[in-house]
Amino acid sequence: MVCMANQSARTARGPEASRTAAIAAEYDALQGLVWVVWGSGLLLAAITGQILACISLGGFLTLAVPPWYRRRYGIVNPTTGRNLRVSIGLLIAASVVALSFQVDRSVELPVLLSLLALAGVLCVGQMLLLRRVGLSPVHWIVYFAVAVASTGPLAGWARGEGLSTYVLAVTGAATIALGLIDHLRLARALAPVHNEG
Amino acid sequence: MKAEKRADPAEIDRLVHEPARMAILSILDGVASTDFMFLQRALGLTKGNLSVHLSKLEAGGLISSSKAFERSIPRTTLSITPEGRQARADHWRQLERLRGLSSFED
Repeated sequence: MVCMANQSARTARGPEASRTAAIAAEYDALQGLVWVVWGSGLLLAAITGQILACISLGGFLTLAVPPWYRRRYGIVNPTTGRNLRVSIGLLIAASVVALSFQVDRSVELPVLLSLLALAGVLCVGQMLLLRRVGLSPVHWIVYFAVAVASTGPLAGWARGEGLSTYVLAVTGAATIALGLIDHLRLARALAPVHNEG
Repeated sequence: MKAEKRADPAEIDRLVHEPARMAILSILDGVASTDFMFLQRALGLTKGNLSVHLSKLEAGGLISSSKAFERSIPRTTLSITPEGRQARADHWRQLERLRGLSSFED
């Protein structure tokens, strides 16, 4: 009953077709180079101490990444509902981490609430944004690593002046790692097509 | 016996049933719109093959397309129509009915 002629492996079989549809629906969240660039800005800020300049530079360079994806892989316009959920989610995540950081600056706790919050919002956020594509083992390793890094104060790290540097470095490294893995998953799924003669 | 719509293989919508077109509709059903380049990348089809499938779907009223130029580069944007969503849902229901036929063979 099923005509299999003239089809590539990506279209012929059910599970691959549904994975392709999942990648399309979550294309925005898989554009990992956005997070790689942003994370690099944070890491640079941690290394140089020029926090505002590096974060601004990272934010500015991040704007160039979505057009690159458009040129290379094409355009997908998410549904209005998804855009709304992503915007609200990002706002909530940023607020939670920022507030937690303020608590870390005010009170010296044995664990950094900002990094625990970061691990939590990354985990929950990506579980929701990549609900159909799913998470890889690397994602879970990164969330766990960020949560473990929150115990830095127990080792004498992230105290006083070193708090911002430590949090920026961990956040930058985590977003770079997550961004890389998501970009690789997208690049593998959307490999180049050989055009006809 | 419970009265149900009969599972008639002849009722399979062949416009939707073809794997590439089913995959196209599956992609478009989950997004507001996408372009030709993305579909080609995602499905691994040649330009000609994809164009043929898109033409058939558009002729059947299941998708709509619009063409525009972005910095002198032509872009074809595609989206599923309400009829396309319905046709896809109906097709899966029909396949489920056909799958149910196997219970009579045990």
